[in-house]
Amino acid sequence: MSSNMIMLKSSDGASFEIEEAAARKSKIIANMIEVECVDEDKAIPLQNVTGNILALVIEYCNKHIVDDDDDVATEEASEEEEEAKKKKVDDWEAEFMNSMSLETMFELLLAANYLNIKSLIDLVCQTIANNIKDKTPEEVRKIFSIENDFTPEEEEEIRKENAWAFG
Amino acid sequence: MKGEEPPCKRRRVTNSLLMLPDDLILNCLARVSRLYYPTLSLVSKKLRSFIASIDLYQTRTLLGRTENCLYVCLRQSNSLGWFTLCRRPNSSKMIFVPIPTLNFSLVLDAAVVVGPNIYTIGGYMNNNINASSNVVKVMDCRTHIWREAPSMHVARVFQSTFVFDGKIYVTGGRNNLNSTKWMEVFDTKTQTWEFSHIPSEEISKGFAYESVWYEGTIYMKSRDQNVTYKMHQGKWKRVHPTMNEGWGLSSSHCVIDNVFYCYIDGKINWYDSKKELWITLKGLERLLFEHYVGTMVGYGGKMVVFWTEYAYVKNYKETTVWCAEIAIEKRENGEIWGMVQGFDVVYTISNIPNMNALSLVHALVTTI
Repeated sequence: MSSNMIMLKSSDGASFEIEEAAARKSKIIANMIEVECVDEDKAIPLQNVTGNILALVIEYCNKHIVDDDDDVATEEASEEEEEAKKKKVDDWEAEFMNSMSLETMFELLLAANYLNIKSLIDLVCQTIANNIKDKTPEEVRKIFSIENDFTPEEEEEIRKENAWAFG
Repeated sequence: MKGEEPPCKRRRVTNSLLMLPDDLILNCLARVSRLYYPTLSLVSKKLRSFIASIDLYQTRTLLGRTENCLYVCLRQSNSLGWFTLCRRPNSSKMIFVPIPTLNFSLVLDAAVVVGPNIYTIGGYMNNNINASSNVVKVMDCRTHIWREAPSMHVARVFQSTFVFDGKIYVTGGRNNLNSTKWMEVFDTKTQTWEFSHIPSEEISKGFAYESVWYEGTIYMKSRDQNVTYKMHQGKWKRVHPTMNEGWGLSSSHCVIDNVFYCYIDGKINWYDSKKELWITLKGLERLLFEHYVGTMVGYGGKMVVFWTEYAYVKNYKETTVWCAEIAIEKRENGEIWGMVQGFDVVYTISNIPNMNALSLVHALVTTI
C-alpha cells in the first residue's frame, strides 16, 4: 500500500527519510500521522534521539516492516516456513544487537522508549538481561557501571555471608 | 570563543544501567531468571531495592516471566533457617542462599504456599512439647519480609495443613478436640480464621494427621487410626486400605501432574488409582540405594529430592545437603520412570555435633 515517505530529524540535525509504514512502528509517530500533524514537506523533529541512534532505530523498523508485510502475504505458510522465517528474524536481531556497545544499547533503549516501539524495547531489554545474568557482583558493577554504594562495613559483612557469590 | 565548547554540548551519555528510567530497569531485570537475583542483590543498594520490589514481580507477571522458585527450611541444632535455591555465578552449580529469617523458636510447624507467600503454622513453642502454638508467620517470597498473621483459634501441632482456593485448612493437632473445633480455615484474602464443620465424628477423633491434595480432592490420613479418608461429595469417606498403607506421616510425598508419589522404605512409589496399587518409580534404584531421601517436592513438572551426608573431612566433621533433580517420564506401557538429571551439594556446614543436628524441615515451591 503506502509508499509514502516521511522525514525524521534527529536532535543533532540529521534528516532521515523513512517509509510511513516503517515509521508507524513507533506509536508516537503513528499517533502524529493519525492526527495529521505531519506536514509532508517538513521533517518530524525528534529532540531526544541523536542521528547515530536514529539510524539504528530506522534500520530496525525497516527490517521489521518487511517482515510484517510478509505476515499478511503468507498467511497460509507452512509451519516450517514460519519457523525458518522466525529464525531469520532472530538471527538478524542477534547480529543487530551484537554489533553495538552497551552504551549504544542504552541509548537505543531510551530512544525506543521515547518513540514507543514496544518490540524494540523488548529486544534491547532481553539483550541486557542476557548480559547481566551469570556474573559475579564485581563483574556486574564493572560492565554496567554501577556504583558500589555499600559502606566498607556492609561490604565486608556481605562478602562474609555470601562467599559463594564472590568465589 | 574559539576552542571553548560548552561542556554539555553532547547529551549526557547513559552508561549505567541504573541511570535508565525505573520501568526500563524493571523490564530488564524481570527477564533475568530469579536464580540470579541473590547475586544481583549484592551489587549495590539501589539494585538490591529493585530486586526486592513488588514492582519487579508485577513486571515479571506482565511479561509472562514468572518462574518456579524453590525454598527450603533447614534445622541446625535448635535453630531454623530458610534458604532459596540459586545459581552460583559463572558456574552451573546450584546453592542454597540464606534469606532473612526470624528468630524462630518453633519446631514441627507446618508450612504451605499460597500465591507468593509461605505460611508457617503451629508447632511447638520453644522446643517445649507441652506448649503447642497457634502462631502463624508469613514470608513474602518476593521481598523476603516476614510478618505475623492472625493466630489460629486453637494451638496445634502435627495437624494436617493444606491449601485449596486461596484458603488454608488445618485439622486436628490437639487431643480431645470436639468435632466443631477440629477443622479451621484461614481465608488469605480477608486474613481471618473460622471454624469449619464437616460432620464426621469418626475422622475427628485423632490427634496427628497428614493430608494431600490429589485427584481434585483432599486425602487425609489419621495416624492414630491408621486410616485414610477422602472428601467425597461433602463427606469423609474411607479409602482402600492399600492406598492408606503406602503413605504416612514419616514419609515424604508430593503430587506431580496429578500423580501421587511417596518415599517410603527406601523407595519412591506412585499410586495407581485405577488398579489401587502402589508401584515403584523405576530408574532410581541406585540413587535410593545409596541415599536416604528425606524430602521431595514437585518443581515445575519435575521432582526434586534432598538428602544429607555426614563425613569426616581432614580433621573436621562436615555435613552436606544434596539435591537431585529428577525428570518424570510416563511410558506407553503405563510405567513411570524417574530420570536423574543431575545432583550436587547445595549446602555445607562444618563442625556440627552429629548428623541428626542438621535436617531439612520444609521444601516448598512458589511461582513468582
